Amino acid sequence: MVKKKFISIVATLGLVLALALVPVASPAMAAEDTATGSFTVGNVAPTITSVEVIPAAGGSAVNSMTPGTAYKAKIVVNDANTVNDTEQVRVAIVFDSADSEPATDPGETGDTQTLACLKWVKSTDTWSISPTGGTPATTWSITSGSCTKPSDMTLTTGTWEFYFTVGKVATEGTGGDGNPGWDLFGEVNDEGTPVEMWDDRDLAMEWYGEVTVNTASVDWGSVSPGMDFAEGDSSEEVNINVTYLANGDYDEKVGASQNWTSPSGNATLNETASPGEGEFSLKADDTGTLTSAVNVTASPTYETIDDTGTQTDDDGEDVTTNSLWLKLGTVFTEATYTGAIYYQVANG
Amino acid sequence: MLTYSKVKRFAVLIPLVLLASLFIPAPAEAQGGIALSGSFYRQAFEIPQGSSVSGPSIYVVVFNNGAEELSVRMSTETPVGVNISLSEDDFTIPPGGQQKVMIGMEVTEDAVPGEYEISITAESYKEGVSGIQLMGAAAQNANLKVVGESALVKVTMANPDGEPVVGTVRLFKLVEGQNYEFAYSETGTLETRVSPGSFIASGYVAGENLAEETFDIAADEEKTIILIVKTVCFEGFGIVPNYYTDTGKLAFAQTVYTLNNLYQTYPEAEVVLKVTFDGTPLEETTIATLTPLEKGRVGLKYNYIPAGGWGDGTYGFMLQLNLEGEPYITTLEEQLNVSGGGVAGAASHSRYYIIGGVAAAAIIGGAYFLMKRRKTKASSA
Repeated sequence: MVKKKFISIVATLGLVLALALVPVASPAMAAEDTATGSFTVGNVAPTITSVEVIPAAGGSAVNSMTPGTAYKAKIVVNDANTVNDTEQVRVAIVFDSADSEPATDPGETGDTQTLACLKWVKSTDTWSISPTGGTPATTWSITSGSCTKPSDMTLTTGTWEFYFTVGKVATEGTGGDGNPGWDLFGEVNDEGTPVEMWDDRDLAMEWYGEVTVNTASVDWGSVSPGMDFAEGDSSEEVNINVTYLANGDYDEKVGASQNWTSPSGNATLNETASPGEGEFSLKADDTGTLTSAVNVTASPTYETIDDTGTQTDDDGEDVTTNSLWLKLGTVFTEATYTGAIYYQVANG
Repeated sequence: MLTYSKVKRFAVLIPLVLLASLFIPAPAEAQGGIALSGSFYRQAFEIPQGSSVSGPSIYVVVFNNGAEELSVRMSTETPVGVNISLSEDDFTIPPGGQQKVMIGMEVTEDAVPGEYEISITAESYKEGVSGIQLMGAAAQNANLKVVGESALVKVTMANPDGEPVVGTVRLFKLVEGQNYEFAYSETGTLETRVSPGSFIASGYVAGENLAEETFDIAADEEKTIILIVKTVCFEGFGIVPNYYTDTGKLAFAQTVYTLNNLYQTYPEAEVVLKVTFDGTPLEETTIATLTPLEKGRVGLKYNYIPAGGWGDGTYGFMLQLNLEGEPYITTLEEQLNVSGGGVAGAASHSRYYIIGGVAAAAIIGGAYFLMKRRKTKASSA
């Protein structure tokens, strides 16, 4: 009885073992498209297909960026064993001042004028940008809610899009071969050595200029017809405060509306500092110096009061010493006039 | 001639002027935060008389960085015979907003050849206020060269069969390594007069740049450029090795790829896998047939095992797309190196049989030995 039972157990064990060891299909035998058994999918290093900047609304890659404007940094990753094992994706937008085609990882610490670092981390599903905050506060930013990762991580190709806004003082560069421009760096990490790619697209960064006229009012007080320009008297309005912000060289200019209107009639700007009847003239200078002042012209023609402006930080450059001088023709009707004087920022 | 009435009027005016000989400005109001950016300033406009330039890459952007709505008036400065057209010239921008203004430049036959500086200005303004206001303005200046010589360029997009393709044609002028947009069309064809020089014509479908041609053109020359665009492409082609868990041997190579059809449905598409072994053609197999191939992306896979089993060496994999029976496009070759044990099938399986046999013999032998020992004990008892 015992013997019979034991033989039965041994026979069963042997059969199970033998079945377990016999391959149910031999992949070497034919060009089949399937094989059975237990498989381990090899980890294949991902590749980066492209790193590019596209408009925020989507579309094809741009070759220039406009400060203060939202874009998407788009990185396309190809991973033959699916993009599901992607742990981290980075994109950097790097200023290349001499078109030297940088080849090393720019790191993860940005600079408001020269480098923006974008990162997605799988473990926390977070999107970030550097620079951020700071004093003065950077104007680079990321809108996490508008960033997208692959909707299906089981595919072999995945696209990450970072929705970001270019900082106002991102350095101007005309892009193209041999010129200052912005390059794109991408990195993807899936369980192993990070895979990097430089996309030397030499993107242009458009010139950006901003002007804020901080002075709330000007009041010449009493200006008599025919009274000449002079420093320190009622013809001069001093300490006009204007802030300029630019990502490259800029000029400060001034102009005025040609006709100042009133219920009693109009006054016309005389651009040669010799106003006749019913005319007025203006002079302007950014240092309050009459001898270096320019004659104000009628818009859209502007006169330069300073052509030495260079790239600013995010606070801009305050000019608090602007002066305006007013001269009336010898015959001039008393009235309240409406007109405009413009402080202009222009590419230098 | 000074008449009595004029003298009388002047006599009345004099006391008025003397009495009130004051200029009384109303308090001026400051407003700021206007900004301007865009590509206008870096264009190298070189335009023949009687021609024009426009395109999506020529624009300015006006920003309102103030806290209140901003009214903006655009103005331009050009020489006689040159006109700048703006997509917007008077508009309001909400706080924090921006307005893109597309720019076109027309040089009439009346323009005098020469070099000029031109400008576009955005001026902020307020309505319903009195007094002299201090306002912000921002401008971009650019250079314009009006030339007397011209040439004619015609660009057409077509598929490999020569049939017209509707898409976007863009024509750029090459100046010192930079591309400057010259003309633009969304019909698949473009015809324009250009200044002599070097150009790039690009053809786009669904936003993808599918064809590009660089060419030179001389004065009075006429040139026709045909851009052949392939609107179906492979994406993400890769080979994933799959191994037997227990032996680590290669079982099969999974071919993964995506077909991206940008333009139109094709009645029939066929994907052929071409395999080489150490550089010699090994196999050619149709791995997918799509009837039809719809517009859009489709991801596909195929598990490949060589008919003769895996051998030590380098396998090369390449895909070819046939559209309606004709070769259309191929991928680059992906390689897979196989070594150490060679074919993952037969040799390994023989070893399984040996190991299995030894193991079974050991178990059966052990059981027999145990049974015999019990029998001996029972006899002794």
